[in-house]
Amino acid sequence: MKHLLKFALAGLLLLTLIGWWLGHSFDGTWVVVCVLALTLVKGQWLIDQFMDLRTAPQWLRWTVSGWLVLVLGAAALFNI
Amino acid sequence: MSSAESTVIEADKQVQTRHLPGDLAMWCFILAELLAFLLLLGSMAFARGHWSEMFSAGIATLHPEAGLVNTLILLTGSYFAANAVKRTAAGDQRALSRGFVLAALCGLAYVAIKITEYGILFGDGYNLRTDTFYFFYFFTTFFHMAHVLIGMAILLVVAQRSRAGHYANQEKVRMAGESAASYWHMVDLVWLVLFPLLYVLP
Repeated sequence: MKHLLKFALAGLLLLTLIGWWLGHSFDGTWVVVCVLALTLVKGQWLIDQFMDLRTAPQWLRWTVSGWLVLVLGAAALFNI
Repeated sequence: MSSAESTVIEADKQVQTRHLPGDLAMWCFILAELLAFLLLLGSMAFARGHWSEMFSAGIATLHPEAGLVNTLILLTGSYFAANAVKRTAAGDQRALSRGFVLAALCGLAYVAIKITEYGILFGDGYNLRTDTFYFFYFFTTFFHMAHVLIGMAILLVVAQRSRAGHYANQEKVRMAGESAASYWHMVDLVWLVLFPLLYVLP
């Protein structure tokens, strides 16, 4: 799709603003879960659309996505 | 031809059509960088949970708006880099240098905001030795900012060489462009994780 990158950018900016608003407006475990989940979606979106690993060799996509899951998993494990 | 054979041939075609964006050596470098950041961010997440009161007090002295603006800036820079690579692949000869310069300018804005934030914190008397939170804050964000500067340098070198016609053919332009952009996106990806840990999570 011609405007796919623009849509990806708009989505990433929107999710960033939503996450920021959630983190600064509410408190509790569910906020931590939501913000980390939003970060996971944003990161995977960046990996697939901007890094263009969607069509890259599977080992590379899984390694970079695995990195994202590991680091966010650590954040969830120690902060929930 | 049996269905099993056709399945194997189809899978083989898919493997052949998969495309590595950029140079394999650059990806080895990127993965090594990600490993270093995994250890650093993992330690920071642990420290955040272990010294939660100290981290809450420290985070309260940061400037969340600066973190938000920097995130929006880095994402926009990543868009410019990705768009430049796409347009170059479509045959636009000047898109790479133009897009990479715009991405580097986003990096410059990020660095300017970060240095201003450091200046305010230093002015308020906080530094690397204040406590564990400030150690992690200054060390991790400075380490990341150093990578932003390296990414900017790579983007500007590739932009300049592309503009000067240094690359022998379009394939080499594409390879250099994808490698530089991949490094830039890695820097952005790391910040996407760092941002909630420092500026968003309650």
